[in-house]
Amino acid sequence: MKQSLLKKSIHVQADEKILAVVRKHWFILITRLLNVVLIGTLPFILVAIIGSFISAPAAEVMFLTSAWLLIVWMSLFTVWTNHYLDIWIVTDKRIVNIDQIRLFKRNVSTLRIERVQDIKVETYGFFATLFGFGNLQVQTAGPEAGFYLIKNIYNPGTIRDKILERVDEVTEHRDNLEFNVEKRPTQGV
Amino acid sequence: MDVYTNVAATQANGAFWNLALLTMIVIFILYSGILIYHWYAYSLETKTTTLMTITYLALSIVFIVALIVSRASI
Repeated sequence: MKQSLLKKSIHVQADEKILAVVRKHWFILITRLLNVVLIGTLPFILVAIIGSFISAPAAEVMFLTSAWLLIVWMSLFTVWTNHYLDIWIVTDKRIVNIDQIRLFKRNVSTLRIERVQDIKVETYGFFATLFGFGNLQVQTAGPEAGFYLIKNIYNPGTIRDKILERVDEVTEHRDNLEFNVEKRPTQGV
Repeated sequence: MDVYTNVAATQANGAFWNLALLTMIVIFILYSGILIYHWYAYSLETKTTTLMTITYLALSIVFIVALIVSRASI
């Protein structure tokens, strides 16, 4: 199911094998959701404080409360959407970086496995160490050298190993091909 | 305040809350459309998307009903 949906959305080739689908760690999602919840509860705290001094009709208060909760509810799902659609897809041929910045801002970039030169894993902070998440930075080779960065993914070391393993296979295969071409005897000699 | 002024004020007040309710419903419908479109257009897993759509709409309807009920009581 996942393979077929991926093929539909990012045009995975028929012989292309998906090695990993990577998302940001759930701790990051929980932190962002909690931010929204905290901001959402602020008016209630204010009303509780001010409410003891003034009195407002119950129906109006209920209307405004429902409207506010609906807005908070929609905001929570916006945060989840941005988290859920922000992924890296590692296949045996390339890395697809789908960067969901916000609604209506989405970058999709592809890096061929052969262009991967170096991979750096960074784990910063108490919670990152505790829950085992961190940043993964892929350095690229070639004239347009740059890097791909995905922040706060679960177990970045495993993803790095998977990518490097595949890079080694591709490099070895390419070296063998080049070696065979060099060693091939010329005809008629 | 005489009875005519009182009725006019009540009508203006009612129109304000009607407009507020209508605005909320329009915002909800448009924004939900955008969210659900994103889920179905870009998601990789139909099961998660369906589950989240049901959860989202189920509680949203509770809020919308609460809005309508409270509007009726104003």
